[in-house]
Amino acid sequence: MKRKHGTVVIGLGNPILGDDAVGLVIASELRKRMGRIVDIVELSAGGLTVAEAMLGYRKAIIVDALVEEGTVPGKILRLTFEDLKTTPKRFIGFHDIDLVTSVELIKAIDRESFPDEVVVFGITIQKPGCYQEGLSEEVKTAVPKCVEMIEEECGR
Amino acid sequence: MRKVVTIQPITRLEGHGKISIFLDDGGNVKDAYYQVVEFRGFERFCIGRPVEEMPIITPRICGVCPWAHHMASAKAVDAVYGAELPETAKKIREMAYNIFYVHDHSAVFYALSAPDFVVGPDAPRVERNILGLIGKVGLETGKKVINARMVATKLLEKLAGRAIIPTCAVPGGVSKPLTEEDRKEIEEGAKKLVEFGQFTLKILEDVVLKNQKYLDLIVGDVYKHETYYMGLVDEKGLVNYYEGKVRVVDPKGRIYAEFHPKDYLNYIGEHVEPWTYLKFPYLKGLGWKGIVDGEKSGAYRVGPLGRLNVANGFATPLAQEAYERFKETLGKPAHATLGYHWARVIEILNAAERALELSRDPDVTGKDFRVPLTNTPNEGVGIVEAPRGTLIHHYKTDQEGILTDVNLIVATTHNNAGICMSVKKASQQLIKGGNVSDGLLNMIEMAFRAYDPCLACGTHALPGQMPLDVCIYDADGKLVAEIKRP
Repeated sequence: MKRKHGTVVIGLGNPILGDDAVGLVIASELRKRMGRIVDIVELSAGGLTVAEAMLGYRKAIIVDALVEEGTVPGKILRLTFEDLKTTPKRFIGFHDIDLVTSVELIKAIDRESFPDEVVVFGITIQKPGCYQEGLSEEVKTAVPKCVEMIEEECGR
Repeated sequence: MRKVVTIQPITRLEGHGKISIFLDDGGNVKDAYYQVVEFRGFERFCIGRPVEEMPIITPRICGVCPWAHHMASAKAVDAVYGAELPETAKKIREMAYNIFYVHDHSAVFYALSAPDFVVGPDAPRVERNILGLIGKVGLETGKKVINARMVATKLLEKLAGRAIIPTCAVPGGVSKPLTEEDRKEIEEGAKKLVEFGQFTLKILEDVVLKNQKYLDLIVGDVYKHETYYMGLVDEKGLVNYYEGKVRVVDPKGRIYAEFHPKDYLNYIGEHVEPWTYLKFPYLKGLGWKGIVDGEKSGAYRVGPLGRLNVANGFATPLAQEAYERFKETLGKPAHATLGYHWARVIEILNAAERALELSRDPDVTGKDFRVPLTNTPNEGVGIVEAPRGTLIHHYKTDQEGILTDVNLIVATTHNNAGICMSVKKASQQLIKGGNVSDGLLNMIEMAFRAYDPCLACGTHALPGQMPLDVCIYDADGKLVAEIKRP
């Protein structure tokens, strides 16, 4: 395992499931703006794959869509990894194990290579129901703001 | 009055689904169903697009097995253009696909299947996960799993640019040739994967097969169905994940049919039930007889167990040796549903061995890695064995190669009847007189988990709650109650 250094931003989503792609869109925007300073990873995966992608970095920032009933789309939430464990908002691992378990597993196995800090940015979306390209207007509006927030987070 | 017991959420399962178990007045199981909530409109999303885009689009359907869709799609596009691939292209594709198999099957075995056995089917729910597994077998095992996955990921990135959504296969071949330097690296990595495959088989033998209680569970009647089986075989009738003919065997193991992928519609029909989005494929020659097993029922099963049942064996020595032991214990065909786990572990070893074999084949560094598409496009079918079972992509286009029709049949759909049968049979035997404990419910979950059903759509949005509904139907199929998870 390599020694920990720098920050990785991991954008998650499915590019053909409408607003679910927002994490990828933000990651792509960040790559243009700060791709030389931080590593940007775009993944359409969950669980173990995401946890594995964090190895070797000092800090990991995850950005993903968040489905929360009763909340308007386009809201940005900054969560710590601890928040993911203690709130009902949690990643759903659709193949392997969910993210919280994956992170706990990877930490147990290789704590030295695992980031000291994991921050999650969630952008609220309506539950995706069918395949389509492009973001809704509400979610699109949140993109520049979230990009700025992550830029600031990278500087912390 | 009929009572309903619903297991939710379905732990360690792809995507979202639900199981409804209907009890009679005596508290015994009358019916049990497994249902899927899925995203729709994929076929519609594709129509009107150039068919060449499909190998890039279809892996987005599902983050679980992107490589399976990638390969089936590329093969279907090859067929649309009548392209005959050079050996180099075929072998690079097959090598990549076998590496993906190790990556995928190992996650399924260690994260989803093994906890039931290693931690124990009666263990509390909170311990029946991979952390509980590591607690039992030690941290070193966890390290081996993660290291093997990372080796596979690195090799896939070398072959495809990126491991998760691949760009390896292109219509008519592969996107780039393989350098000698990369080939050597793949060979070294594949050796490690073979060692990992042997290690995994040893874990299965030590922890599961040497435990008489678990072995009894596997070979017992609770999880047994005498169905037909389907899977791809090569020209020698051996297991092949990437290409071959589709073979179907009957419950006695006799070959019922063997056909070219393009002829699949002559053999497979799809039945629709009002209570689920997921169709029920069946063998047309036998017809749809309901969710039942036996020689007269058109229901069949696919996946690791299906492949081992249809094939004459494996082309690689270590997997073949393991397969002999599998046959001795479970018979052939093996009807034990929990045999899926065992078959999956043998396939990890086989896929690693095959990847190593191909990495040493001089053809993989050949320069002839792609042919131009010169024929007028029309219609094509591509079939591969996804880790979960037979995957069919069927495209029709106009003369410009614009898609006019798309049909996909995925592994979990083929297994739909089998999964429902297993859930019902397990629950009938394990719930008596309304007596239901967590351990019993887990044993019911084990029935469908063996199939590793994939209900995924490729999304992993952070939901505020698990989107699970409970629907209760009366004897006439009328919805009488709907309960949403709070």
